[in-house]
Amino acid sequence: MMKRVMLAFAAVGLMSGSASAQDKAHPLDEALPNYEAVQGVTGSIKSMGSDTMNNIMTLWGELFMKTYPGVSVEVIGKGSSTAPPALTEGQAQFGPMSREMKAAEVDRFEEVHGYKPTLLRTGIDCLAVFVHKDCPLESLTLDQVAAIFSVKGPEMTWGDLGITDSAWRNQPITLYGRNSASGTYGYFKQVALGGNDYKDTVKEQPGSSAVVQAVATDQYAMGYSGIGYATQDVKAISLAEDSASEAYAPDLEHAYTGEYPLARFLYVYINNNPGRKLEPLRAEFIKLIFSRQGQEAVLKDGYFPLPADMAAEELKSVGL
Amino acid sequence: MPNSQEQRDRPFHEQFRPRQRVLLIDKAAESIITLGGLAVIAAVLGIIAYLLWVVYPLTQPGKVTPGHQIAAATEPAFAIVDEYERLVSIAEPKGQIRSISLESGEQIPASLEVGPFVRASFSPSTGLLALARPDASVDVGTLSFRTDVLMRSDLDAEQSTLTIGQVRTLDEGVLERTGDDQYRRITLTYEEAGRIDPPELQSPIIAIDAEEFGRDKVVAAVHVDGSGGVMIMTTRRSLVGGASNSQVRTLPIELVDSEEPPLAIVLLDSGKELAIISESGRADRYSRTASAYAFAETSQLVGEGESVASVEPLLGRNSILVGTSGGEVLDWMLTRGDSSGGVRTLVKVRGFRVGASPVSRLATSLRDRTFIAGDEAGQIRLWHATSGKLVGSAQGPESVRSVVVSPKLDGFLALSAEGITSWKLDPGHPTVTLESLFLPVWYEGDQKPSLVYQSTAADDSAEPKLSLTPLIFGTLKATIFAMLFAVPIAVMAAIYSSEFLPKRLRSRVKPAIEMMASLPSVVLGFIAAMIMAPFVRDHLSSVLVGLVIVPMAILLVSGVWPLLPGNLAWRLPQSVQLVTILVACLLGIAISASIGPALDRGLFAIDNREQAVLAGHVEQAREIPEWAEGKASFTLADRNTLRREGLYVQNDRIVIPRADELVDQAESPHSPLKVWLTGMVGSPLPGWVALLFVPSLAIAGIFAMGIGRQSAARWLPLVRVGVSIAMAIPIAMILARICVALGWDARESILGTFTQRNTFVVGIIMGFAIIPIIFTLSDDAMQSVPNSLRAASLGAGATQWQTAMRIVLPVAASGIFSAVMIGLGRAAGETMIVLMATGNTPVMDWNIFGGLRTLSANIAVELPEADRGGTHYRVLFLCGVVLFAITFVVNTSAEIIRQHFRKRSAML
Repeated sequence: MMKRVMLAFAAVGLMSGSASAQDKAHPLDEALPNYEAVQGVTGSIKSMGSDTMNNIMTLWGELFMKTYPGVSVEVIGKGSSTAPPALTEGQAQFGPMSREMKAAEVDRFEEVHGYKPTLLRTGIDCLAVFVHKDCPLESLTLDQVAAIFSVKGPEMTWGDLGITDSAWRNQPITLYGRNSASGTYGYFKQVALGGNDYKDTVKEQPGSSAVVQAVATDQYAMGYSGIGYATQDVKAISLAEDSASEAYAPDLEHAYTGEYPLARFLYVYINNNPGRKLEPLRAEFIKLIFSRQGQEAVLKDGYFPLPADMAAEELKSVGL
Repeated sequence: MPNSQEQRDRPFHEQFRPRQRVLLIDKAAESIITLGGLAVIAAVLGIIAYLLWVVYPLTQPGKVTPGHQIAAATEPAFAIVDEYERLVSIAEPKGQIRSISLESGEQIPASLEVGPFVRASFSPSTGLLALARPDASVDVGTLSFRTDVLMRSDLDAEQSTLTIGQVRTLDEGVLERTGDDQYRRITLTYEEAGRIDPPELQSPIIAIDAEEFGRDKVVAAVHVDGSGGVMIMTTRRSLVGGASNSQVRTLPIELVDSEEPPLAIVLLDSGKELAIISESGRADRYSRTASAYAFAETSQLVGEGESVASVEPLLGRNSILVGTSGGEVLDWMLTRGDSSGGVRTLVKVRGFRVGASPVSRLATSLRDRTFIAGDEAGQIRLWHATSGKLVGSAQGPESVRSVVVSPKLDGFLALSAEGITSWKLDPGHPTVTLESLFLPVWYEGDQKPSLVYQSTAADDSAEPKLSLTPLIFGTLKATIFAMLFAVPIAVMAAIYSSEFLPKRLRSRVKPAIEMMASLPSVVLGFIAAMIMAPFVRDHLSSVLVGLVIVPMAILLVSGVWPLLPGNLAWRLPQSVQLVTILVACLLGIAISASIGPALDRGLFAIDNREQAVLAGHVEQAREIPEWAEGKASFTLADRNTLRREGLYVQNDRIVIPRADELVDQAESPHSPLKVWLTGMVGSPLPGWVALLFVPSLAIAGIFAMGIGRQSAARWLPLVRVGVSIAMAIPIAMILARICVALGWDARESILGTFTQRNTFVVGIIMGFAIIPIIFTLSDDAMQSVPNSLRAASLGAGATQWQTAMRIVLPVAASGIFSAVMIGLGRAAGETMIVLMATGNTPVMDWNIFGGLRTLSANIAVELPEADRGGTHYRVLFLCGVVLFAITFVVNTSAEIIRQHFRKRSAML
């Protein structure tokens, strides 16, 4: 009983510790504009796409609905690959994606609309490799990650990663990942696995939270998802480009510099007819995304916000 | 109806003629029912027709239609076309890149000057252009088409008079009106990126290749004097702020002596490998090390008497296409090399025959593994390299100088001395053929053809792998394990409830079980994933033991029951009997919970030597059997053979435990069973004993039935149960020994490494999902057996059990069989449970502790992402067709068998 109390205490301590550390190390850019409500915004917004960005879109949607009570926002997040068809067929106005569109997807859009879809970079994510919180592993190189998750390497035990602890060394690594609709799945395959196929023993989970949950309940598991889904029960390990370079933790600093090898942007795609002004509904939503409040939501969801100059650049690219 | 009958009825009919209204309603009801029935049939046929209609285009080849024909003398070093196919740009060695409007054939007045070059390498996918200058220096830059979207207000009055779709030639490009007030301007741009200074000797460059791989720009060149080098420029960009730093390093190629000058140099695998190819077909491969590109191997690419006419890397740069003088295109692929003994090497995957003339022109698509080949007779063919599907063919002009595939794979061009010919292409679905959907396909990098399902990736250079076989396999695997669990329980429960349970109890039990059927399968899936799977992981041995112990406990109690004093056993109400069975079950569970781990440790014990191996206290074995020497990888059978001689395999080395470490290891906290399942240690014997125990029990049971046949002693049932259990153990041991002696290991088939989300869990939970339906239908079938049969049997002196087994069961067999088949159909189509409780891993093994992916779960997971009308979308519909076919075959055969049974029982 005593032990449990202590543990709980330690967990609380950790939480508050990390929260305050986050406040210090990850401040919002002061220069981000404050969002100011305008008149005459009504209608409904539908977003379809990334599961990684599901919470973030929901947060933005809630902010937006609070500002404009006459507006309804619906967010569906089944995976990045669902965004291009939805945008092309006009089922959604916003297509959040955790990877860039593939050429074939852009083709389909262009075939229907005559111009290419517009990409907005709305935040920064570190695709993290998670292990159970009790796991002694601290860092990996990308080559190791590729050997663990892809057909390039054999079936592995934790001992193969240099863990000597007798409780771990002979345990096979259980692998969890996303389903193929996910942008995270594709990005991880392309960047971390060097384009190699996943092992067919990587268990495909329908959402990022399912991956994190699986890792939290399966002691010998390893999985990947956006950093925003991290919980107290899992640990995001540091990654190194190769054995010669240093391993960096997935945090704001190393995401900004691009030193963390799996740092990436979180995109929102829109159907923006070039030369035609965006209507107020979408224009205001985009302004909200790049405002202080919008970027605060990014931070709140566990991802990293954009600096003010970049936010201004993105707004400019759609004429706002 | 027989005639005589009708006549006899007539007076009656006439007397009581139904009223007009009743007849009318009768008529109306008849037509409504007929209509409804026909509508159902039409709907089902309509669905099948729709599915087939969606799937049909997958089997069709691409379509080629002629496009433009422009007279223009060209002598291209290379040519490119923009993605809208409006502008063709032709680079000439003198240093000019001329652009021609494909619509009008007019030349764009302004041409790009890039300076004279002797060799050029252009990568259409990244636009990277490397020009080898006469002084042996190399200029690197990016050549690309720039597309501006313009509004009417951006243009002058004359330009805006175009009609929609019309193209006008501008000074530096072309302008096209694309919409009411929208225009598109396409221009060719060149941006210099850097320059590589000539080497001191200034020996001219004879072959060059350049490509951009993510952060690296790689340029490889071979000089006339036999030297060669690779420049790698790595640019790191920070995500925010735009700061970037570039690092340049140059690695020499350690060229081996060759009498022939190189024809081409090809960078492979992100620039980590390169191949230098000569005209005779000799290919030297070099691999990147820390300081140089070191020689790796030599391959002969073309056959005897042939020579290489052209060379081109396939998209993704893992394969080299070689056009031969004999009229073939050969696909040579660099295998990945893997832990199972495969080495990295160039292998020939496939050959494609164009004609009899040398294939001198090759180009590749930027969308997928499609390539275009042109021979000197003007034959043009497009193939998909992986699936081998012919995408298109055309007859072009003779003496083709260059062939180009449009960036969107919707057209292709042939450039000759006389002019430019273009074709429009509808590629269809190049990545799939019926063969590639069901049979092994040799994918890039693999050692051999394989059956893989991995549908999508982040970019186009990764190929979709769409084999349905693993999904069909997964569906069958899940269904079989679910049926193994569900059928015995459901059918036996039905026999019990129909034949032995008092009516009053039955009327309560049956609806209760039927209630189970109304449990949504997503809830069952949730329970499986969140509760069952972790529970089974933590208590695997107890759960497995329980599956045997609990039925055995019930058998034992049933043996004890007749021993009750006097005729108590007959007088006690049936509810007491039921409670006793329940107690027996609970007792069985308690026993399995306690002996499970002990049995686990006893049966699968890891001895000290093996503990030492697992802990890594090993040294290289000194005496290795002859057959194992030099082997790079070991199968489970190999390892079992080695183990008998006290040798172990670790990291593909043969090792023995270190003598000094043979001390007692601390007890491992893990279940030895799971370690044993991984196949690292342990003999196959205990697995067979465990697996064969249940069949042995059955054999022993049959034998024990014969004990004291004529006697009615009370203690006989108990003796029979006791004897069968006692006999089962030696029988299992003997059978297991036989299996081991035959060299079989269960870990290669139905056992294997334990994963948390596994078939075992799915089998049990899906079993629960189908038990109610099988139970209810079987129970109904037995209830419908006429009571007169039962009464006759009982009256003739048969016991209740004999009546149930020999009279009721055979008569009701057809009904029970169809109940089982309906359950089978339900299991095959079940989606949510497998979706949630398995990892959806499309593996192809029978391992009950491994995962699987079913057709239905695959459709559910992937349909939202599939582009309507795309290949993936249609393949998912094909999954639906296959699933339909499976259930159709099951149901039809079930019906046939049922009819057969029914005829037999109808004769009673």
